[in-house]
Amino acid sequence: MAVNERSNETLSAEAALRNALAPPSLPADFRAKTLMRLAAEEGRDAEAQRQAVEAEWQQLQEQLRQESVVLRWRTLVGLLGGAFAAGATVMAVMPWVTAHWGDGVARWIPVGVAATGLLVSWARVPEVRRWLS
Amino acid sequence: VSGFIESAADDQTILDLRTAGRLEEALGRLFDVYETRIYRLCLALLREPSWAEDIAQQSLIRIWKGLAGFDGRSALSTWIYAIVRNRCHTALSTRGPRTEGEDALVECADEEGVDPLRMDQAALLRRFVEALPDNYRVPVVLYYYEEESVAAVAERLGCPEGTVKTNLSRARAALKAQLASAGLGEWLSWQ
Repeated sequence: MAVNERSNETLSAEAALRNALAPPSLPADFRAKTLMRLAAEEGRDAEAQRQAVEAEWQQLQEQLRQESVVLRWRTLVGLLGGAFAAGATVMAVMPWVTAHWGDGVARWIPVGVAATGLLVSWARVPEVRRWLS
Repeated sequence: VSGFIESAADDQTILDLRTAGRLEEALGRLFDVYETRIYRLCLALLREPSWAEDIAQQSLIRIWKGLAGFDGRSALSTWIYAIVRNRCHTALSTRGPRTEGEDALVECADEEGVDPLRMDQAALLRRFVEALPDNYRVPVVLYYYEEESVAAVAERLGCPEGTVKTNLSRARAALKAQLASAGLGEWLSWQ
């Protein structure tokens, strides 16, 4: 109704405002659309979590591989160093040993070292124990 | 008061269902109780229906995801409306408010340039309401949308009831002045 047709009427402002500002209804399929968005986000979250776990696992694998390589190098260097040190020690000590205890002792020392090595291996390394038994 | 008690009971039901792992029921209840209120709050703050729908959906998703971590330091409704307001303010700060003429609530856009005396009363009132500053417009819109108490509007907006009352009163005064300047001063009675 045009305003000029009712200008003489005095309406309640409250009622007029309530009438003018009728509450808007929800958009069509609001809930369905929100649930679809939620499902998509949860899917993305799950995928992101999977990718994070996978990346962490790969990082751990890489770290283990690097540590293993370092350990192998250390073992090799240790073995070579040990062999060199043993050789150097024998070279240094043997003249003194043979001078004091004779040539026979020099033959028994490697046998004793080998026996000690086998005993230690048998005590500490299961594979060696299995092989010896 | 009964509205607040019902709201608190609804909130507790949602939390209980969520805690009990009955997620679908909890989500359904959350939507039943809050989807319309959240959408209307977004629309009041943002003015544009599609934008309000987008932000309301984002808010509901954020609320649902955060519900497990809700610590109960405030009422659930207070927490929910705070999230919605934050989303809206972030959206407004990112994109900026709608420019005049795009306002969705003014459904009489096709009546631009028409003599106000020939406009529909409701459309004219909507136009005047839309022209109010936001701190007056938003309480007015929420108050008359929801037909709820000043306390409920205050909770939605996260401000004291006194502020809402003052802003409603000033909004009515501004509307009265606008109507008077349009030659329609006697049109409505303001109690």
